[in-house]
Amino acid sequence: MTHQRRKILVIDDNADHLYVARELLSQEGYEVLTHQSPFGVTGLIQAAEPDLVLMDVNMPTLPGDDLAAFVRADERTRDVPIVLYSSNDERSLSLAAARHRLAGYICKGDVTELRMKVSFFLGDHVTDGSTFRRRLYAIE
Amino acid sequence: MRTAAEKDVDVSVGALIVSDARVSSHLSVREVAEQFFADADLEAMAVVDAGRPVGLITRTKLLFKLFRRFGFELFGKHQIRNIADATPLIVGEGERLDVVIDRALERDPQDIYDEIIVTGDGGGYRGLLSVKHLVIQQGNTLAQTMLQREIASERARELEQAQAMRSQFMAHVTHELRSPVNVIIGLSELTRIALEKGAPDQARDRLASIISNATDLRTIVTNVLDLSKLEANKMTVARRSFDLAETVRDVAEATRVLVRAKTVSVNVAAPSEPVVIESDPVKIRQILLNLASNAAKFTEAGSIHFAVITTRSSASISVSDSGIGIRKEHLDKLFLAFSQIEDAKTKRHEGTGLGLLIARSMARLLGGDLDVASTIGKGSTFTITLPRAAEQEGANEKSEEGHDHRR
Ligand SMILES: Nc1ncnc2c1ncn2[C@@H]1O[C@H](COP(=O)(O)OP(=O)(O)OP(=O)(O)O)[C@@H](O)[C@H]1O
Ligand SMILES: [Mg+2]
Repeated sequence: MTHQRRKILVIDDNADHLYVARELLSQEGYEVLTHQSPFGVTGLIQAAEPDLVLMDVNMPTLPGDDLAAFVRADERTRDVPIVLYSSNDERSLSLAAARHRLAGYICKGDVTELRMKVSFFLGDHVTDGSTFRRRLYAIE
Repeated sequence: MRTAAEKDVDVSVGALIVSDARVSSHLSVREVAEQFFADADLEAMAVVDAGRPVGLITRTKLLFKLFRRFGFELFGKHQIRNIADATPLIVGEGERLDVVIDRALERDPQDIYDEIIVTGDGGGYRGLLSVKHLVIQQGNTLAQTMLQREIASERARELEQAQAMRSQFMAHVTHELRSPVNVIIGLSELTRIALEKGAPDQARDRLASIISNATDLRTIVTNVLDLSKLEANKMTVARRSFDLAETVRDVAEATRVLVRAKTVSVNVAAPSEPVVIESDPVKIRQILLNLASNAAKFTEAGSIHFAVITTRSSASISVSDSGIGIRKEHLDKLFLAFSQIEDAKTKRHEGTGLGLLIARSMARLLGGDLDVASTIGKGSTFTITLPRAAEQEGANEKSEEGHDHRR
């Protein structure tokens, strides 16, 4: 199988966080796009067609979890898996991800977790998990 | 003989059931999750086996389990009884309201949640009680007059608000502290990678970023520590006599450095002779620097003006700027923690948003106060008033005592 590089879009209002995510994920061989604002995201997703979106939560004027819900409500962008990527409490992230039926969340600050979960959400090592998730989210 | 009031309290909880939500103990976790997803108002369900309650499952707990790490994969197929709370509080429907409330509040803190299971005579499941609802109910039965009732529900509202503010505050603090820590961790890993690749220039850049993030972090930590000391009454005051006018001139000098890149003039109006007061000069300097840094931050052009005015018993210092000003409806919120943002998730500010709260708390600790007047678009004036000499300020002295006591 020819290996098409996986594309990840990272959205964060903080330049340092964007830099860290971009460098760490490029290191893993992914193609990484970054965007330093909650605005213009739906257009960007349509144009760039990323395989995965990492979304910060605490952002000016438009919180990432609400933005993610908005992206998912738009049929042109609804199929892209979105993962919350934030410094908030794990508990609040898991609840927000569940509430908006997102693919999941990743806690910032754990490099190993970032690597593992990104590959997991891209479906690299998973068989059963993704089918289950699809089933769970199909109830809407 | 019983009074009417006592009779009213004698309510049994069977009448206060709020829901009879239940799931069979054999359902899978994923099937239960679907039920929670389908009904946004569903908070908890009893896990029932042959008509009898064997556990309790709450929305929060289930979602937390499912969305943790690889929760779906780990738990999805299990039976719900495996992740349900197997020892929920279960009471008979004939139990008295006050007895049930006592039992609910006696639980271990980690076992406390809002729902209690009610069973009938034969041990069969009847429904769920809400502790919150029970407490309100009890308040209502105890309160004899409308007025008492109003006071009780007002108090409940206040408690709830204070609670909400505290947890919102905690969420802010946690995020503000973690965010730079996480950047530092990421940058450290990247520095390691750069060194391994033999790219010292890249490593050097990354180290510079680490230092700058660590410096920000130190400011936040200092602020949070100051604030918790103030709130716990553990901030000590070191009083001595000093010249307030000199302190103000010092701060003005520091302000000139802050606005160096802008066309903002900084001036001071103070008596030429020393304004000697007996207070804590370090804290006053800290308060003034805080106001000055705000003035510098929010003023693009014009002036920042310091004025010292004294009476026989008090001294006041005002810091006026010709900056962006503050909306009337925001004035009250300024002195709340993280005030410039209504919602934790949408804030954007340079700094922690704790500056004014700390400044006002410190001014009050010194027996004075901090006030603001502002016109949007025109500018703001923050004024500190201070007693010139230490009075009998019970609170401060007590704080020092409390401090020693702990050691
Ligand atoms: N002089 C001023 N002019 C206009 N707005 C002001 C002024 N001082 C304070 N504010 C408003 O009040 C908010 C709270 O100020 P505060 O000093 O408490 O926090 P901060 O300056 O955001 O952060 P920190 O002081 O902790 O670094 C500011 O973010 C700003 O919106
Ligand atoms: Mg400030």
